Amino acid sequence: MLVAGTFLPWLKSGRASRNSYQASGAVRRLVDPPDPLGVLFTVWPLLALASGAAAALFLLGIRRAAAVLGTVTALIAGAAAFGAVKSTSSAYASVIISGPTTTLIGAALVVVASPVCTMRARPAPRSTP
Amino acid sequence: MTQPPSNGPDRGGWAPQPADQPVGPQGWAPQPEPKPRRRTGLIASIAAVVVLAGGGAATYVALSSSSDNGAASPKQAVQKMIGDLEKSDLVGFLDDLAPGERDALSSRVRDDIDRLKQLGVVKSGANPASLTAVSFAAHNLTYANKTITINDHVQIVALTGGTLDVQGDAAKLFTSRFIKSAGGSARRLVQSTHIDIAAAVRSSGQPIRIATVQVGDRWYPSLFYTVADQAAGHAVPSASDAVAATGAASGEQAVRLAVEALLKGDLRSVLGLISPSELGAVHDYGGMLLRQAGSGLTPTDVTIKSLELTSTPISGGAQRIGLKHLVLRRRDGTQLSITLRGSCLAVAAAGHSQQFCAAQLSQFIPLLQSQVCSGGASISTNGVQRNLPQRCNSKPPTAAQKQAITDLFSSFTEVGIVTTQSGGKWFLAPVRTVADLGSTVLSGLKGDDLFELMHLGA
Repeated sequence: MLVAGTFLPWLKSGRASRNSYQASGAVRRLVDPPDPLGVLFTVWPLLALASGAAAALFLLGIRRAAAVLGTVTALIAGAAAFGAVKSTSSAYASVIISGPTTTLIGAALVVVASPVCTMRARPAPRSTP
Repeated sequence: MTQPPSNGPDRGGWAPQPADQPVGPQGWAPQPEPKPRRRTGLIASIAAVVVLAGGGAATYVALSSSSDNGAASPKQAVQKMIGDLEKSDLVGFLDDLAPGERDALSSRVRDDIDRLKQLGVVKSGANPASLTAVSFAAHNLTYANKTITINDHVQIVALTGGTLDVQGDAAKLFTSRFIKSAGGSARRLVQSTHIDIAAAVRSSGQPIRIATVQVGDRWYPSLFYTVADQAAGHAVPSASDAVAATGAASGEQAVRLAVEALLKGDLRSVLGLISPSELGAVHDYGGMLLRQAGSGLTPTDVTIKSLELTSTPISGGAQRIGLKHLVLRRRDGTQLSITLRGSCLAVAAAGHSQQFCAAQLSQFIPLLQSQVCSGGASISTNGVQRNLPQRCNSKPPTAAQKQAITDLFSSFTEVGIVTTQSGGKWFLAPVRTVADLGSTVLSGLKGDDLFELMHLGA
């Protein structure tokens, strides 16, 4: 859900809409945002890979690492999506909330689920005779 | 000694036992039967690989989307730009342009429009991103089969047929107050144009030419090369027309060299200092420009005695170079000194000095109004000038108008020449300078300042 949201429309300019990757690329080229926003826009396309890696770690049973990577990814994606939802229309474009909202919900679910995974990953306490 | 079985402890079967544990035959104990975990682990591994591959594929698509810029051919670049114009897509249109031009034009658009909204010029609800004030429709466009090659990185795409319909409605963008203050009416600000390209080509004998420029391996439409092609009468510059981009070691140095070259009438050196990424056309068409300029720029007998500049970083790694102190000396020894102190400009020449401050400039307005009115209505009788200022019906500026003038000129001392870096050298960026000038002046205005100035001008 987190990744799917990033491929939904985020930005509208005229009758054209852009997903988060097209939008971040265009905004990066046009506005040249200062850091840390510039760094975020640069690494944003790696979000899907990070999410995939977190899911792969989880499936391989490396749940603690999966939870950490998933949480970090979700926090970054969630912050970006929240920022997009809260932003007002600019001179360049207006935000379409369907994409950011989906990503935000996905990010929230990951953040909530990650501690659960971490707790399940803990070995059961040894029983004493 | 018996060797352990080939299947280890993790696979069930047999495993060595610690010494204090009861042992089976010859030190090996039976292990539990194999669990279905082996199959589960395999499935999990496959699923992990699939998920990771999916993430990789999604990242590939994301990276492609993020860096989707330019086009594979000149014609595709023009078609993409026209497509974005048809969708009223300002982001797409600006993003279509050659990188240097895009940076120059888009750098201050957002700030300027936000400022114009605050000043009440642009409707606060209007979304200029959608170019709502302008609609553009292209139908059945046809292109010449071959592009016209200007040089190894510039080609012209020729439009030969089809129609273009452009409609502009300023009332959708500007506030009614601004339109009224500008002396217009909303109805008159709706303009539409229909262009039959085939008919235009027949009457002019030339197709509509759009220049494209190659940056890296991608092609982009270029506004400035299109203008240069038009200004050159569609003549193709030769290799000898090229003026090398020389640049300077710093932004301040670039401005200093440009001022020195201008005083010497050396236009070629000035062209060499202009940003090749922003105005590459100036370098490719440089020889033609110099021939057109001819002897228009003659050397002066003025030299720079002292030049102190300020450097202010602005967006996109550019630097605004401002004036702090300048002393010019003529061959006869006379000097002119200009010093900027805060919002005041001190000028000294021939033993006299005068300071002009933004707050004092409103005092000159009645004098200026009188001169403007009398200039228009002056008559000459027997060689004597007679002024008729009463016909102008000018009123002295109000307190609000005086404040607006003060605000306007207070920002003038912050203006400068924008310099950008290209290939490790610093160059003058004329387009960004003009854009920056407008933004800087707008930044000084507050509240109803703009309307007060418009009333004063009216």
